[in-house]
Amino acid sequence: MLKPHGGSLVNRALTGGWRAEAVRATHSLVRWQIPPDVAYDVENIGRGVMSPLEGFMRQEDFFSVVQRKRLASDVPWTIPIVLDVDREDLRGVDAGDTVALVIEDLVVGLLHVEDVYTFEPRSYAFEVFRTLDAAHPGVARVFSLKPYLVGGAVDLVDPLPHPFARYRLFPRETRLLFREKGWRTVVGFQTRNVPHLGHEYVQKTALTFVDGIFINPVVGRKKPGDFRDEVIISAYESLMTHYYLRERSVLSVLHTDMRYAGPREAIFHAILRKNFGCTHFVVGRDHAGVGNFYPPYAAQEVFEEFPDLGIVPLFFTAFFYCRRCGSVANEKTCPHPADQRLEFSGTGLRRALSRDGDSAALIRPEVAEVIARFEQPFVVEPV
Amino acid sequence: MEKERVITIPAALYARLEAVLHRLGFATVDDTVAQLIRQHLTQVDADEVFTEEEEEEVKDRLRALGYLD
Repeated sequence: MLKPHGGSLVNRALTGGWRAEAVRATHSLVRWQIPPDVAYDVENIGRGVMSPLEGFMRQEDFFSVVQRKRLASDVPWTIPIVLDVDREDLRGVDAGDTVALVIEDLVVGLLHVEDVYTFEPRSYAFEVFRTLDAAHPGVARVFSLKPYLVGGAVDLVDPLPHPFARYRLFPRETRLLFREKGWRTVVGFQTRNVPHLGHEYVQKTALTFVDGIFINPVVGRKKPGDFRDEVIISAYESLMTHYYLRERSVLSVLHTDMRYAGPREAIFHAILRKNFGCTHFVVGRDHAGVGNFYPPYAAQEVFEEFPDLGIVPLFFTAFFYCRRCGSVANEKTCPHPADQRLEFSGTGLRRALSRDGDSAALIRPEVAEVIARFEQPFVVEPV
Repeated sequence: MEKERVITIPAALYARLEAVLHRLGFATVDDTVAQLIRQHLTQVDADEVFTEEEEEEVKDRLRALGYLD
């Protein structure tokens, strides 16, 4: 089995007596109310999804990641994982202290404060997203951060209940699962969309060369216009029931915010799937991009900077359906003119979902039917 | 005798540990820190080395969720 990123799988989930002791101890600790996305970060860190991170980034790692796309230890890492607070939160808190991270009365985790530092939002945003345009959702999020960042290891105490608990797996589980299935090579597939035939083509092409596929939709905060999480999961349930071999495929969700950081996020997504036990990772056109902020294949080119990443990227070009070929095709495989092609664009998919025109060429009828059951399949406000 | 190295920790953390170490069943802060580190390393090292009991727990969950037969 491929080693986790950084060498070993982090396990900071407290259990048994350690958990009970931690809960008791929180009565005398400063308590910080945290939003759900931070709670899911704590769980991802505690259960090894973000190995080798053991907590929120300390100053040294934060600046190293922003400037060099690597942790201070030189291990590749491209997205800052930070905890932001206000000055008032820091009253009575010093390095060496432990803070309880809570949602109402639920003690999600303990933060062992190692350092507190400030940052320059414009520099952070530009280095990570290559733009200062506040229309970029990642930039807008950085600009909305509180002024202080707190670094330090976290212990997971009680995770937040999850809406997709049925599909929530963590690296220790997936690694055992892949072993039990006899998979020596596994390709990870990241998605934030309902599956169309182009996705299916990519997934099955990749699967042809490895033992199994790990389909891992991201759930969590998304931008308006993206499909809602429930729709994505229901659509995948339907697709996999009807068109995938159970012994060759696993569906599981990853709860983390989309940052829309394009190339940097492609590396981040690959690292997380490496921790789950994937040996390969699919990178498509404009992976984790938004609007026209990134060149279409920048998220593939960036892998050249990371020969030590430890997971094999599988690059795919854009796909379309060709009426003459009678199949999904791409620029490398199809000689026919543009008027024979149906694009897997947002517009094309919306038409397909309304059963207009060539819908069967773009999306499986079972998937379209599931999506049609949702009155509002898209995110309207940021969630 | 086992070789030893000096570890530096924040003074405030040392004081807090000193105040509670008797409740944890240790005689000195040094013993407490060493044991906590061992405990932590055991957890970290356990990434793919399950005890039989742990492995069965994980398999039970995977079966319950329908991932394993």
